[in-house]
Amino acid sequence: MSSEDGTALLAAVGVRKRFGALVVLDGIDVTVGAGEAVGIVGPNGAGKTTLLSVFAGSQRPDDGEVRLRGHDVTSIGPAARCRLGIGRAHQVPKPFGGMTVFENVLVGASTGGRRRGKDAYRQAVQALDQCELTGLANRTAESLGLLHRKRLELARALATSPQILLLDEIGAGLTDEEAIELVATIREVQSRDVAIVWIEHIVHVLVQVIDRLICMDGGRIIAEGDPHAVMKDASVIDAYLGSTAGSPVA
Amino acid sequence: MSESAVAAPVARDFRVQRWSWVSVLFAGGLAGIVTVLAFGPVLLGENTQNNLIQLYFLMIMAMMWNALAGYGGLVSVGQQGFIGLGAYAAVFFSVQHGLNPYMSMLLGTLVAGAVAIPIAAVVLWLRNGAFAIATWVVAEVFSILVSLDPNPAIGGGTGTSALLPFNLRYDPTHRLHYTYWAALGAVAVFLLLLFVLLRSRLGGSLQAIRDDEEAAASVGVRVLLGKGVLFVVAGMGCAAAGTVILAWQLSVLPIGPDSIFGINWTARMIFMVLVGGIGTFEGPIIGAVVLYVLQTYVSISGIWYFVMLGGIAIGFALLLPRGIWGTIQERFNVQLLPVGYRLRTGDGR
Repeated sequence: MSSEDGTALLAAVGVRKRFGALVVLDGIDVTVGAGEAVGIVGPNGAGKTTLLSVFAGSQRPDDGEVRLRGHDVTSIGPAARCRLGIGRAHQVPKPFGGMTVFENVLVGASTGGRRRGKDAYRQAVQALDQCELTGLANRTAESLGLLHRKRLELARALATSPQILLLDEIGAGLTDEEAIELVATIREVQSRDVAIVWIEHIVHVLVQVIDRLICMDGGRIIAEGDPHAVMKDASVIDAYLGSTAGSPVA
Repeated sequence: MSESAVAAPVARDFRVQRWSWVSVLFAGGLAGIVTVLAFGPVLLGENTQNNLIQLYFLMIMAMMWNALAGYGGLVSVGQQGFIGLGAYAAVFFSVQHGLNPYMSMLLGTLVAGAVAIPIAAVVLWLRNGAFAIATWVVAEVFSILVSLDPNPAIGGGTGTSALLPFNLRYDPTHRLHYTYWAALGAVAVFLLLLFVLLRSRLGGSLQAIRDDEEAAASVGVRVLLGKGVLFVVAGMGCAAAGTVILAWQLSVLPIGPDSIFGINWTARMIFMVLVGGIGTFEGPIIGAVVLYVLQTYVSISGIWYFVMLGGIAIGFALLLPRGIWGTIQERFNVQLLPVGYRLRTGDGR
């Protein structure tokens, strides 16, 4: 699978989204190729999480389209999109508190991942192993601390066998050591040709994994391309430092 | 892109345990108890049979309310709508159309299940408080519609009697036996149905919906479908309990808190589930026994009876929020009827 025939794995075309008077996404065009890792940075309120929600189907855009393998999936809900291969790890972990860690991941493997019986168990155990949660498998999710909740969020998304994984600040609040482990895990996922869209404030962690970086501000994409080039872009520096000098150059 | 071929993690030795020897023993014991109870009409006196029938329909109600609230996060205060609907549907078939009363009970249960489908399609779009109120409104609407029905078999607001269809076919002793078996059968069927349902993939999906609906959808759970199946099953269960109540007391009223459509049924269901342990499979069965013992051996009646129930329920909510069985389960880590999963790996736990 490649994007050489012009069909991206996932694409947003002219996506707009407003909440009341507030324009959160103001005409976004993004494509993600199969197996590609795309990072998204930008100041708070830039619309990054909303864009991820539009990709995942939990927010419907007011205008524009979301395409998966060239098909319009804009009107398809989040559950069906997950079954079509879009996995998501939320910014604030949303564990199924009353269930065990293993049961949490098993739900992902058996519904989103459409696996049955032993096959589902194997998939769940593999996701737990990958996120180093196997030792906590029989603990209830509500008893986990933040680090383990974040890992569970990732493990549950992985268990659905996604072709594209949407990560929302999965590294926030982690120590350097924990972040290194996380990078290793995500690299391993990517090595199996899973595309990744990753919102992260910790840029030095992000650039270790991604092929391409997008910077958003005020609901628009203000820079896109090679990660190091984007970070040196004048408009990106502006957006982060809030200076009024300089003009937006893509 | 990345050409670093990191090997996928080696699948380690693991085993997923659902049954333990304790739960196998208990399930066997339970099947044994049900079998022994099936001989109730031969072994037990009329009074005991009458009492057990009450226990049986309370058990069904508690199981249904627990399935809705404890496993699906659907706090309904309108299940009495289905209790009444089941009873009146059985009246419709037996009194009005002269069908066999026990066949009418079965048909009434199925009709209520069918009615639950369009209701689910409406009320399940609402959440939490709005859902609770909507279910109550639905129950009140059922109640008012039945009370306005001028048909003599239905009886309007003055209620109706099912004495005739039962007494035309059966003498009182046989009627008691058959009603006892119908009630026990309904408990067994719905216990088994719920157990199979909650152990299946749907059970996990429902718990996920209960804990976080948005996250459940994001891992592929069809939220509305899962809730819908649960709502319809719970509607059928409550309707079955309603038909048993009809067969047991032989007359029903449509209006008022103590009627077949009365909110008092919901008060009882919440009591049983809170006391027994919400979200545990075994809890509501224990809660039903507690309520049954209270209403049989504590001679308080009327309003003070419900004040007592409310007081006990509040006491549990404050002091033992997991209820009797939830507390036991937590302390001793046992599940007698296992609906969950335990992962055992090669390197210890």
